[in-house]
Amino acid sequence: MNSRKMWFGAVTLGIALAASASTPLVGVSFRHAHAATPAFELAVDCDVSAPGIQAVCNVPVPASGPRSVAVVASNSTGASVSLGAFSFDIFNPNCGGAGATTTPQGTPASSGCTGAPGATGIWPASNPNLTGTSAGFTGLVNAANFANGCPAGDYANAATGASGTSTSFLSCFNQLGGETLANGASVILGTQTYDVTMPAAGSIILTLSNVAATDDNTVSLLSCDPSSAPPVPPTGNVTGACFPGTLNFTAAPPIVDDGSGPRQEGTLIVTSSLQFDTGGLSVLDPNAQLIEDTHWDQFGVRVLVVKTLDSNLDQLIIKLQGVPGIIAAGKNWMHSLLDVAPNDPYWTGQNNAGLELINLAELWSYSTGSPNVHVAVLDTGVNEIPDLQGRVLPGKNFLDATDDTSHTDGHGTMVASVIAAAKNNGQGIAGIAPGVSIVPVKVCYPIHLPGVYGFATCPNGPILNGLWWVASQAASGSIQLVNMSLGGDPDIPGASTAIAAIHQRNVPVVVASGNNGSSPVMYPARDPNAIAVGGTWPNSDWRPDANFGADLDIAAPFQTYAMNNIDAPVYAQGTSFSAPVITGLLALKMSSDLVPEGLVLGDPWAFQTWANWMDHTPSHQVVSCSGWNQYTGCGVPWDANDLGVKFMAARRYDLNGDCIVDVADEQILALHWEATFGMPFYNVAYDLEPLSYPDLDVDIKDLQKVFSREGFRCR
Amino acid sequence: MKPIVFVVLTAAMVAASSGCRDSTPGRFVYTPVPYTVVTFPPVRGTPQPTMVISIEESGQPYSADLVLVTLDKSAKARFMRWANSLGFTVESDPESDNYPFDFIFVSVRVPLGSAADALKLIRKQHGVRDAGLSHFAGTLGSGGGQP
Repeated sequence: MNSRKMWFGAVTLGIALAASASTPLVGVSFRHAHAATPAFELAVDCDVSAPGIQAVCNVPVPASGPRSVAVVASNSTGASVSLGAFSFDIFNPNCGGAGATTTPQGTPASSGCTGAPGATGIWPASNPNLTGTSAGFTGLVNAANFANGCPAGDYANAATGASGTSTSFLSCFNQLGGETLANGASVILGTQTYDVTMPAAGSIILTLSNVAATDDNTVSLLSCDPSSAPPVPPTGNVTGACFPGTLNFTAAPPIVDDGSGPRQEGTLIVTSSLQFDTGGLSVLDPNAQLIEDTHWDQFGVRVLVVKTLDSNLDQLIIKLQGVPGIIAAGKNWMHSLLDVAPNDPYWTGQNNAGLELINLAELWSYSTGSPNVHVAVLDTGVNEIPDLQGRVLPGKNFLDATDDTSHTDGHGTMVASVIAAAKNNGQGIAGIAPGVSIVPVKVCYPIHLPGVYGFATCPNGPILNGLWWVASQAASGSIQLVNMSLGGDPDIPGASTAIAAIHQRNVPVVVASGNNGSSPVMYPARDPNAIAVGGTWPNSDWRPDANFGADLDIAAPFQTYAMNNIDAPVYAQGTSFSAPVITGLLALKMSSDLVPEGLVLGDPWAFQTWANWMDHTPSHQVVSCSGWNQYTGCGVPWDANDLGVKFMAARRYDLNGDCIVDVADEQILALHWEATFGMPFYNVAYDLEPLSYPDLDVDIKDLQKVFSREGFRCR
Repeated sequence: MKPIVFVVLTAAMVAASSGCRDSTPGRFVYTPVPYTVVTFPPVRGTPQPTMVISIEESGQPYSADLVLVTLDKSAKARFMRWANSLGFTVESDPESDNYPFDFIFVSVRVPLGSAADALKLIRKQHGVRDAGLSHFAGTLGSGGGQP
């Protein structure tokens, strides 16, 4: 367990999460004073030992009338805890004037709202649960507080909604702290009351920053009401590190898409060592401005958000390469929540046939496949149909002396299309890894030989020649993956040596298990170095015509749509089409490796989990997992408990990379994206709860659904 | 889409009338196994395949005139000399000599119906890491049905 993170419960709300008896447990929650029942029901934790962590809650409020909100801390740790400094900010986006970028606490007339902000802070002498002294907290963001050591101009900026930077927020609020909260006690840290008439009912946004308990630098943050109004775009919200440092009233950069995908305009995500001197950024680019700086001590890295002119990004990325301490730098692609269902006409059919088991939209947010990943398909040959256009590379024909690697009966093209058919091209199907390249290795005649399983006949000689050729290509780095949707009962003499030679180059050999519903799986699927893929019904249950047994590694849908030519897709069945699903998933993984900008930034654990997927285990299975069974092995990846692919997908919900999927992630979600139905970034693939239907709102419950399936923390 | 099965029997059943023969150095003595020459119709993109098939007791077909051999690469020349001396033909992918492995795969063409006996002899040769009859795998799926 990471000692820097703890679990928290909000006693005031009657919710407590399990916690180590020795672990301090502090909950801080917002409570809407006029709500009949507590508006917030989730207890969360968050490590804000690194600067820049913020939590944002949207609290629905009527257009007028006195209202108040409170920040409440509760302690169910079993011991007293010390509270450190905190700050929080309240603003009402409905009160923003023209050009306003932030409007603390809903003021003033010039912004279209009328009334008095009326701020009152309560801390801490009025609460007997607290002991110690406060150095002088007098309220929230108000004139008096700004007057208490803060430049009046800063408040003026805040009050009028003008852009500006408060360089002295710190001095206003870090006078707090040193108080002790008794076990079992709760305390209102601060309240905000106001009587502002707004143009319409809306929400106020509470931003709480750097609430810190002095023990182990671990803090608790607020919780959010998942049933509250849809997240409001945080345009103009406070961004950047509030404490310590500056409070930047800057608008979030707009999203642009210049053909390579959506990204935040003019921003770079830079991963650096902890020791990296950010002062050098301005030397590389006078316009470069550090707007976020998050330390991940457990990873030994910092994730920086750097803003500059959009036209400077490419040059700055080049300059950053080779700079000591820089690990990676890339544009701020919006990988999450943007992928929509492809427009390929048979995509729905593919999903219904079982691909919906695998959250491809999730995986595609990492990568859709790199053409630099070359997948050898040992089969009947592959035609360069439109869905594979430009991505069928020269291969090898071992049936005769020609270089013709076109298909002879469509099987090879069907298999290749399941792996790599283009998506979003308005035709055919979508492959699992739509961007990767196919290397046809022609080893099967388009004839059926009585006594041989299968539909095309693959003499052992061409298979062996093909395997050794692939091994040589793997050794030179020209092939990264192998798919074999073929098999038979007898072993292929010498094939094990060839497959081992391929495997030793870290090139997975993915093989169909067989279709006669018996055990063991066919050869070469049962080769110790092959990944044996069984077949399932669309619901992930074992399909009885798929071979099974002790050598089975994993499973994928037995049925799908596939392209055998430029014509309409055909409904295809067999473990021939299960194997390429797994091949495609591995291709995505490898594509991510090869395109670090696509994933590595800010998500340093994803690749490790993928690497774990390929671990050998003493029990022969190439793919390791818990819950293995002889019918579906480790299961369909998304459905399996312990597979990297699923874990990686779940990791995507860990938006702040702290290894916990919690409300802080939801708040990031709210901060960056609108995630309700009809909004551009709403994606039904993330709308996971309730089970039976999407509730048209991606919120913390959806995150926690994944959370609960994955366990509470990263491995 | 199930491939059309079209098998033409061009020769059948070489009777095992010759029986066992003694082996002497430099001479391959075998007991012919019944075999069938199967010629398939030409298909676009591949040559017209002809296969010489024998059937194992298990029912598995295999090439009656072929033995698959994985050799130490250093033993290839010696193996070829030996094989040629018996009238065998060693076939290999010309590129494979340059593969960065210590092993090499070759197919050994032997007299019709002699693959099983030839295999026993080949397995005893220096540098042979693995050898076996040439069976057949099949592709494991088809298209054209309905969901």
